[in-house]
Amino acid sequence: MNSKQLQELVRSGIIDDITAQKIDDYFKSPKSSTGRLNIILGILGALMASLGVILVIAHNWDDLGRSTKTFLAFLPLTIGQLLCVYTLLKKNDTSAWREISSLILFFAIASCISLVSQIYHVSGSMPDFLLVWLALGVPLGFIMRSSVTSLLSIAVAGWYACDIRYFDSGNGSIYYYLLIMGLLVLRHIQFSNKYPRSNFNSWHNWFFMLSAIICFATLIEPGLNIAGKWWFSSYLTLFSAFYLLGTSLSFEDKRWYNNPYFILSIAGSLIILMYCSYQDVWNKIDYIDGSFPIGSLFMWVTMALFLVSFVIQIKKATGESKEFNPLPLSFLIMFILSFIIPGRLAGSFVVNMWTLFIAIWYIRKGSLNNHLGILNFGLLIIATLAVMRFFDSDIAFVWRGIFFLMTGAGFFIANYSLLRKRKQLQEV
Amino acid sequence: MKTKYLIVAVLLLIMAAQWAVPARIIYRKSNVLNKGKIFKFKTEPIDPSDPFRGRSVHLNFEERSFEFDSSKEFNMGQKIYVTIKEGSDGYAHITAVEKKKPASSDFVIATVNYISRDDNKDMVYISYPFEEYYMEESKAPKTERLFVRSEMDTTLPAYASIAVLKGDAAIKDLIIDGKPVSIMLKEKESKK
Repeated sequence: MNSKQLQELVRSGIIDDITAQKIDDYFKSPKSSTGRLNIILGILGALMASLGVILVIAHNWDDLGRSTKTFLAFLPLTIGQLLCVYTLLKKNDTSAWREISSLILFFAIASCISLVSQIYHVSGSMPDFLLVWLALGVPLGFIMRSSVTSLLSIAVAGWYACDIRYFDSGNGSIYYYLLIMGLLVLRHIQFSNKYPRSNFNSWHNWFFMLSAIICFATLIEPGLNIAGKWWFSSYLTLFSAFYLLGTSLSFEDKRWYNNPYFILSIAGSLIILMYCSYQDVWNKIDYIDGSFPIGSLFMWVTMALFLVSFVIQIKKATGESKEFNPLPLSFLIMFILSFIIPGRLAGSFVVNMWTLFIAIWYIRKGSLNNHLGILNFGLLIIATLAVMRFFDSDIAFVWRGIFFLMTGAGFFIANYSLLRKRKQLQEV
Repeated sequence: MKTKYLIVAVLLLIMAAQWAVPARIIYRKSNVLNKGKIFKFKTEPIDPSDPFRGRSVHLNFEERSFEFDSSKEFNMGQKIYVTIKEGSDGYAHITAVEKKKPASSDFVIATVNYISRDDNKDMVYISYPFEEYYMEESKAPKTERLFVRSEMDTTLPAYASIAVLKGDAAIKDLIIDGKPVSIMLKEKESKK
């Protein structure tokens, strides 16, 4: 904040001279202006250096004896450990030291195990390696209070889950992934309560959300083929649960880019609805045995999320505030359609009508709350639906044309009405 | 203050575990290399790359499949015990593949790669724990070329020297024309 802005605030009577002086002193002090930058640059430097060590070490030194290579393998690990002990004893209050030393040790663990395996030509599987790395590295996030290590642990855990289920590169148990994520979530809750203003809280939310979306399907047991309709229903249920989290009190004062649960659940739900608006999708939606996969971990988790979402949505709709939003209820529509198994036309028709209903709800909400962003969001949903129907060869051209005209007119009318309403209010 | 030292103590315990994991690998493999019986496994290599462990030569062994009784059931990825014996040609040959630990001391713990069944015979294809030979990235493709040449010329047998001890195994060296591959590569470099 510069002096001119402070003087403006003093002239407007928002702050007094003494407060203005205190603010000016605070921003000029070296600790406040450079502390955060130091941490970021330090972390980036440590990250680059650690990755560089791994790459250098990956270059085999065939001319060295086994003992020398073994000594060099343990060197980064030793340095990382000494740094961590020193940090805990002497620099415990400095977050830059904690983050950098933990980061170095986190990567040194991987490089040591890798290099020793290389020296002794141990084949091993990637999932086993990742699991051992996590077991030895995740505690650093707790003991060193390192957020970067915690973020990397989320990424490596996701890698492990994808490796054992999507890439099938070795035996492993998805329960390890769930256990590690559970520990990291607990850590995040503890730290975000203690340090609510930390930027790392937002990063953790993004990492958790992305990990959940990418790894949700890893809960499906190998060899179990689940029909498409259950995939869509389960993911819509997941997004509904995350939408509730994103609109809870914990995220009330968060900007949209700090609230991935809200943003990604809306985006994810709409993507699924748009995809299911095609008639052809309903033709293939249960071509694999479409029976409900009872007993599968994937479905157990889905049912748990279903119950939580359903109960909370009912409470919100019938409570004092009478909150109702159709978008997070999409999972109910999808489940009903999945059990009834309608024909191709009926399934896509219901989804199209439901999506249109959601769009109109947002337009109405934007209009009532005098919010152009929400209003245009509703119109954007209709426009997207219109574009998709344009490429839907099963609908006659004339109907596509009419729908487009109506959508375009809707954009103009809705925005014009709202702006005119605002102008009238201002004149009053 | 007490909490601080408690945290340091916990950290030291974790650090001990961080040392223990690679140290255990070193202890086990050193034991096998020093006390294990040496077998020669004939090879046919392919060259992949592992980002964490540098360039490697993937070793395909001639003795990688075994015909089994159709009454036995093997599954992909299943742990198996492969009994080996030195043949009259001096190379290792598989004599049995079991799901349980055999009485013989000359066996390797491996996994089932895949199963092949047809009217004539049932074959189990084996994935050994010593199929990767790690070396300097520029040397791996050169090594592969040496192996390809050795396949075409039967007077240049190529094999991996494997130490085996109580089911565990470790690569001692890769041999072409009676010489370790590192020496072969050095001789090639010096001729240039």
